Amino acid sequence: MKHKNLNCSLFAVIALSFVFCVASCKKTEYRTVEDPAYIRVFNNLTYTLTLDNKEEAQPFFCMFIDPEFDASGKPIGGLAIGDFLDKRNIYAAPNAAHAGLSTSKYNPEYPGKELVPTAPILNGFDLTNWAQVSAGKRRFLFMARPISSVPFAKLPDEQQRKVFLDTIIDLSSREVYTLHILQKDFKTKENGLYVRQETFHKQAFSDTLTYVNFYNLSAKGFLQADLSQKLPVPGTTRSLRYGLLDTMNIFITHIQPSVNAAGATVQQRIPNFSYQYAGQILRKIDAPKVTPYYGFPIFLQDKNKVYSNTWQYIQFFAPAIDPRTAGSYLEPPLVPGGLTEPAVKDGTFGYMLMDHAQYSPSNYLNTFFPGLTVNVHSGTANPRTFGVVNSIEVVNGHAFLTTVQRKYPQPIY
Amino acid sequence: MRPDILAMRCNVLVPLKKRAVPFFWTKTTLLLALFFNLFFFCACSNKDLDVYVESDKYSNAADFIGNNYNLTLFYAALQQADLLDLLKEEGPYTLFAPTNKAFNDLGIVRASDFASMKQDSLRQLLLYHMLPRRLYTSDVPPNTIDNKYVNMMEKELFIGYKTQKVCAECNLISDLYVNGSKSVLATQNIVLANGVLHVVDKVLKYNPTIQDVLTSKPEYSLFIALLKRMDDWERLGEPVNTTVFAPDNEAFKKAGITANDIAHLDPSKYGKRLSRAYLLYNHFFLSDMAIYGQLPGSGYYGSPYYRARIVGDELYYFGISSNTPMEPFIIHSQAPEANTPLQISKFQPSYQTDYKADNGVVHGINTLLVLPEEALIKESTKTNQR
Repeated sequence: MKHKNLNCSLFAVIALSFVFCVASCKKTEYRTVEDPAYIRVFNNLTYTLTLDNKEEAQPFFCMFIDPEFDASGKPIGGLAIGDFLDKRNIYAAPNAAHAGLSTSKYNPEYPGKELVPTAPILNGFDLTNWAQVSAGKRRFLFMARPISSVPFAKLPDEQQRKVFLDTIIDLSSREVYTLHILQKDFKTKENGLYVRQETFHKQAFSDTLTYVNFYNLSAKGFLQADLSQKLPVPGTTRSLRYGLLDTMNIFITHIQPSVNAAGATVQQRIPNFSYQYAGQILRKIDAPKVTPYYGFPIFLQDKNKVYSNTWQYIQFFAPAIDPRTAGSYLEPPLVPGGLTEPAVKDGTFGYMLMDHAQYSPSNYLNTFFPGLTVNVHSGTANPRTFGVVNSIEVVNGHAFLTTVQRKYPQPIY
Repeated sequence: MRPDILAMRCNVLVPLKKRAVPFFWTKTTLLLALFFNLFFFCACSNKDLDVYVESDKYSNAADFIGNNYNLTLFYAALQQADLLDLLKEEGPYTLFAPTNKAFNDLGIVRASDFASMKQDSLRQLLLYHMLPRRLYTSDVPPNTIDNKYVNMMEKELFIGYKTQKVCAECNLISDLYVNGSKSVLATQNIVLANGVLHVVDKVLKYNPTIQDVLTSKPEYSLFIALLKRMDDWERLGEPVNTTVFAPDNEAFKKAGITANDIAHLDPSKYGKRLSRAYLLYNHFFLSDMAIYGQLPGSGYYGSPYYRARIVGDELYYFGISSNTPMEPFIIHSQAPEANTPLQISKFQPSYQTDYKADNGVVHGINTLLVLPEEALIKESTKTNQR
């Protein structure tokens, strides 16, 4: 009898656990995209609305890919929706730095914080920052919306009807694209979508070098405009505030910090890697094409072999100015202090300081960018320096850095 | 149910018949009951049982205004214009209701003052204060200006909304501006049975063109004469935006300028700023500056609320300084005078600003910004003119 009694309890326990097992089951349907292309969207409109340009649209968007409309002509859905598309950050990090870390709904890029199927690793490059979208002809609709944390669909009706940009682009299968909302003409305030098919994952890049290329995506007429119209925008570089000429030579100087006898950090340039000519930066917004990458070694330190603390001092000079002989410009590694206005306002000179030690995302009037190499904890080495692939985009007096990194060994703690 | 469980249960149940009240039987029943209970719970769907009942205790717009001591003049005006019946209908309406103080500023102090007004134009004026929809402050994009909503006179109202909480302990700023009239947090979003009401501190003023605004006010007769003399009057009747900072006759009197002086001005001898210092080729209310804040820069005249080159006399800036209350000023754009204003004026009291027209806005000021002798073209400055 006792045995049966036990049996009975056993039966109940088994039955209960069975119920729990069944109840805890969940079928996950993974979202897959047939025949995908990979896209990453940036909003390069950095202007703030003032009384002078108040008729312009608020540069804050809800993006619809292949939108669907209700009977009244209001977009209500589509293949993909990217709401809260804000001005881009000056640094687009190689990994999905925004995911899960930010409490703000505002998205500095698409996909950024959106939970969408992202691109795989292509030729070693981690493309988590690119979203998958079906290849083919896709309609991109950008709706201007007020800056608030109310989702687009819940805004008052009249605020869901401000079309900012409506265009169709052709995406090829398994290709990588970066899309930029750009101002095309500074005077007429005409805007457009700039679509660049990237090639970095197809190029034979070396592991031991780091690469950078340059684009000038400034609007037509920005450089020529009255200086008073080129307002500084908080949080972006001020060294390029007045713009660059359409053709500029690029020189990169590599700076090596060291500690002197008194214990102070001294920045010194590496003599043989000073004023390295790195090609030209051309203003071009009509025919998007990848510009040549310039590669340089990552200068690993002698003792530990995996880490480098060098940084890069990039100078832009109008052709014929030679930084080795022209004495009137700041000489690397000298850096301007504080809120220095660019001394040269005619677009013949500009500089960027790619020093991760001095970079701060919250710094007003930022001149310092993260370096062109990436230092992370990988394996047992913390940090370890990796060569990466960078793009620097100069847009209307601001500069933006985008970095792509290969997949690297995970950290061992 | 799985067959093996069924079989088990049969085994357990068979010997039960032989005993009266077996202890384990109660226990099994209990367990079974618990087990089946689980199914019951699983089968339950959670329906939201909170039933929303719309409150019927709100009064309609007409009754609310009638019962409010601060809106008695507005009520009297509605009564005079036969609009109370309309406001008892279903709506929905949004009302921007001027306070008694707002009417007092215009010289209307008792209900009977409306009787002498033309009923038609009074009706138009009041319909100008109403929208044929519900508009809560949350419907207006935060910290924006120029949100246009068509009112019941079929004209656009320009609505701005400033909302800010600088720190956790700071007061919430939530100011709604309608054509420059302000509604503060405490008197916003008053729910009515047939709409919503916001109490505003100024009566909204509307004329079709800026020329109409200026000619309707005798205090701007000298300013009109100056504009006509300097060939700037025509623009104010055309459908292009202008914001006018109009000095009144007192301002001319203070500067010792008479109608006769203006009639004998030779426009070719003076820089354009003599008249255009008062004209901005733009459209804004004074409240727009409060919402957008100051321009970047430093110092009293370096970070003004607004600064723009004077059209036709681009060496000079018109600006509105960063202090409170705002002061319009004129300044030379180049050193050595680039940091000191040439003249500073003051705005008229707030009920004499923000006159809206289809082609701009008029704000009264009380001092001239440019005296004729200052604007005389000298040979040396002539070469500097752009």
